Amino acid sequence: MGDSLITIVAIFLAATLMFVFPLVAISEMNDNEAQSMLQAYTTEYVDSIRSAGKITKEMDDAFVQRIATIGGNSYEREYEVQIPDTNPGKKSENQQIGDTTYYGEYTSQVEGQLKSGNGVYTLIPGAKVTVTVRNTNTTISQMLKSVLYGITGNQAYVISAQASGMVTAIGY
Amino acid sequence: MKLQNLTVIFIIIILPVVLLVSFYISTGLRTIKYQSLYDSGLLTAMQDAIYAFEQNTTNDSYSNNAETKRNILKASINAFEKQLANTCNIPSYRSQEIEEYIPAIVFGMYDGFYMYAPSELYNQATGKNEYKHGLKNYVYYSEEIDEDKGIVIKYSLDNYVSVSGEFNGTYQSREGYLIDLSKTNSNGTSYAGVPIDSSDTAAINYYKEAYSFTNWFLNTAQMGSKNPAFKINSSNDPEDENSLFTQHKREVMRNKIENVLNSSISAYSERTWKNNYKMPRLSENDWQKIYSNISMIAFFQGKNIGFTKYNGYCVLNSTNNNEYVNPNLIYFIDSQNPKVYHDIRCPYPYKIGNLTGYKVGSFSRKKVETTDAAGTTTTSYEYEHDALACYNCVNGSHLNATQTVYEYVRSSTTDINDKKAYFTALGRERYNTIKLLNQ
Repeated sequence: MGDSLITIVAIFLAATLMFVFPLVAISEMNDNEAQSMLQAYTTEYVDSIRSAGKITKEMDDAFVQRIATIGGNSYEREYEVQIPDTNPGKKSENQQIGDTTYYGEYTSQVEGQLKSGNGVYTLIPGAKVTVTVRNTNTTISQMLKSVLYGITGNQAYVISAQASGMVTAIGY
Repeated sequence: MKLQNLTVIFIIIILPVVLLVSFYISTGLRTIKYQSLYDSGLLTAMQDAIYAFEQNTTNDSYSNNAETKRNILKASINAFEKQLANTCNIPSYRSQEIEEYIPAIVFGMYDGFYMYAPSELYNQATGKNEYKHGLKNYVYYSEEIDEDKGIVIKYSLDNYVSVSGEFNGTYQSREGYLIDLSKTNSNGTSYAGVPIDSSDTAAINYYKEAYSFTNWFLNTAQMGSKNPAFKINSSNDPEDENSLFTQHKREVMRNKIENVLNSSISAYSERTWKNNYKMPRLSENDWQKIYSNISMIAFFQGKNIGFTKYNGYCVLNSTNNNEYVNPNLIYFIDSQNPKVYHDIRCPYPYKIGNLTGYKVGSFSRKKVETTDAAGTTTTSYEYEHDALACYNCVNGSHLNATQTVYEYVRSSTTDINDKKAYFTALGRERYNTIKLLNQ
């Protein structure tokens, strides 16, 4: 009886050590790689927006298609644009770039512009653009962790990237 | 002992080891990830700050006023902090929290530098001393030559200097460009055997006044007797990067920046318990950037990134501003094709008509705000010289890569019209630049 029990324990531990941990490690590595690629692509995309001074439908589509290939996951991207408020009726005198009053426009407004008219969201120099990308599916690593650590409910994002910067060109 | 027991014992021993190693590796990966994230975040923040500085100096006609300049620099710092805070996931309304990790920011200007660093202040509300970041007073690149006579020389990024002190029994203060007297004349009509465009009064005045000042510097002030670096002649030409004068000037600049930075960072580090701030050793490449252009140096230290704390700095140049005429960034328009500007070395067959050169900032778009009698403000944009950069110059594919601009315009094989256009433009642009040294 004692021998059988210890054999079962040994098999269980060996299985955990040989299969579960490597699987967790590999899936985490996969997420890490996806994270690195996502950060690189997002930074590259934001840099292209900054130097072009605009977001076009083609740029947005190309970016969405590009990130869709990373790690077999699905992602959502969000825009945040902080625009310098140079309305002369408010407070335009002595305002310097960096010290300006900003107002924000977000994903829905950017998408609205991209879907209507000529499909271009035009930016002005000094505006700050931020793109955030997160995974929307549950990755294998998340599933395994849920089983191992007994997590229930909503999943946190495990793969996310954010890049931002100041627009340096006018996109007219 | 049976094999099964040994197996269980082995697994019980090896399992925590595997977990520990796994934790160690994942923390190591996190450290690398955050290090590269902060490296790129710092660079982006610097780019934003430099861009804000360039735009604000270009669009503000009062940017040469010392107080306006301070406001412009504060706006740049604001842009820098907001961007860096964004990288560190600090919301923009709390972006000043990032200052805890910024022991110093240095703005290398034309003739000195500003430093944004913490100072110890007494808070009346709390009754305690606390640190608050602020823009310190301007520090000139100056050197005391003679303590008894109070002779002080202030340097700049180019050959412009200011000298003050007692000369021949009277106190004098003069400033001007140092020039090799053997290359020009008292009328300023030529330089290095090349005639200066006589219709360009500013260029002629530049060489004339530089001749007069250098003459005073060498013969009346007798500066050459005080330091061999001040003996200006053909083998010690201040325009030459390798001249004794330039080497000496750069040593003074480096020493000044290092001393001020070191003392500020050390004082802050001694009085705060959170982080041990240290001034990193700047590479020679970074110092070259500081010597050759308007620059910004930012230090970002103490942010926890796993096993260690982040310690980084970044040096970035501003090439498009109204502060300094960089001799390497003067571009030329052909009168027959005024819509494109070129590097003087560009072999593209554009040299059909007369060449006129301008500093690179002249080709930028400027914002102009006009307010009418009814108080309505209208914003418009205009160009001082409405031209686009030559494609071949921008990508550098057709430029003569074996020669620098300095070498090209002094080469005996270079066309004299190129030389004339270059030295005329350099003289004019320098003459028209407003300096803080003479304010």
